[in-house]
Amino acid sequence: MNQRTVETLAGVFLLIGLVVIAILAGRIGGGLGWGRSGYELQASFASVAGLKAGSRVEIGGVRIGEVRRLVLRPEDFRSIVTFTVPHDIVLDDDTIAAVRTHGLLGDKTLVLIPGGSGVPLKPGDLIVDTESAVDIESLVRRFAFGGVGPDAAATP
Amino acid sequence: MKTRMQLGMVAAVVWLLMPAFAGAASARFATAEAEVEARLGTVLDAIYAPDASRTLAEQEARVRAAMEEAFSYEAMVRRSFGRHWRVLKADEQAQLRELMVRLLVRSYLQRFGAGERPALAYRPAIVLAPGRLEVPSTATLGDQTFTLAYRLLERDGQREVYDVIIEGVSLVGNFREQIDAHFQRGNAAGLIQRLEQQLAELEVTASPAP
Repeated sequence: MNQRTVETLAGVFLLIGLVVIAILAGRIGGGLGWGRSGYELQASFASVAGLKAGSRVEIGGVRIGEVRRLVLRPEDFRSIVTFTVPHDIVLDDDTIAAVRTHGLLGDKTLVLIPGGSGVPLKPGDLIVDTESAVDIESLVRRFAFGGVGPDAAATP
Repeated sequence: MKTRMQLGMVAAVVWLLMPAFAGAASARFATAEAEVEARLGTVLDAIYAPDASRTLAEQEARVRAAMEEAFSYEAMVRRSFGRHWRVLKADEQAQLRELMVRLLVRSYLQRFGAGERPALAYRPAIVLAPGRLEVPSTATLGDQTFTLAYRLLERDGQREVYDVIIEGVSLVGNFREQIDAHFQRGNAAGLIQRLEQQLAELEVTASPAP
């Protein structure tokens, strides 16, 4: 086996190794990855504090996708979150989306609570039944200083 | 602890008052917030009308009558059950709907009927999407103020409340998660039995509200 063949074989093995590592990383991370196609949905929130692109999307504690984008809708200042869902998961239009925290100070996660209206959400549809992120600091302030002021009555 | 109790009380009030409006006459209200205020006010009047001579059963009947005149619980219960609602038989749906309403009325009157009436203030409705509205509000009990938001469907000139968000938490979502957890390991018969037990326990411990 000449030097050129050995180098070629080494290069091929290295390439295969990198591909395998990339696939495993995708699978372990729970992302859609190769072989699992998905579609995008959107959800409208009053606040998504702490949620970011790449955050987990879960149903029943199982990661099914990830947050892709967060943008502010200028006309009403609501936060629009775009996230992925695998094609094999069909959600009805009364699905509730909630921003929750893993543990007391853990990462924010987008949790989906599937409904049962029988009307499926289509790619790109907007979920408006949402629970916004709970602001731990404001809760602490409330317990420390008593009742909330009038400005806390702003849109939930 | 006081705050938690008050929040629980507010939750009970809005859960009791969150059902869909009975079909007619949304058009006579200029705005969604005016309709929510008027309809909820009617039921609150029934709940908090002081009459020490009434027994718990009489109070329950009075509140139930006021609720049924103003509201329909169909949308609220259906959404709380989520995907499980469609697989229930018609008689199971009817039983569960009835039990949930009775349980809510009884537990509310037993725990809070003698309490202070919360002061509710409503803000202009926000359009979440075509046909979907949110009426932000606050409930004040003593020195505590809580944020509430009523979510409404608007179709053909009719509006119906389908969820209430209390301090950012969806009541339908909360109930849906609990019901979903039950159906992971149980069935409709088990849920009916559980609700009947809870109702019976409340009956045993109930005493006439002042």
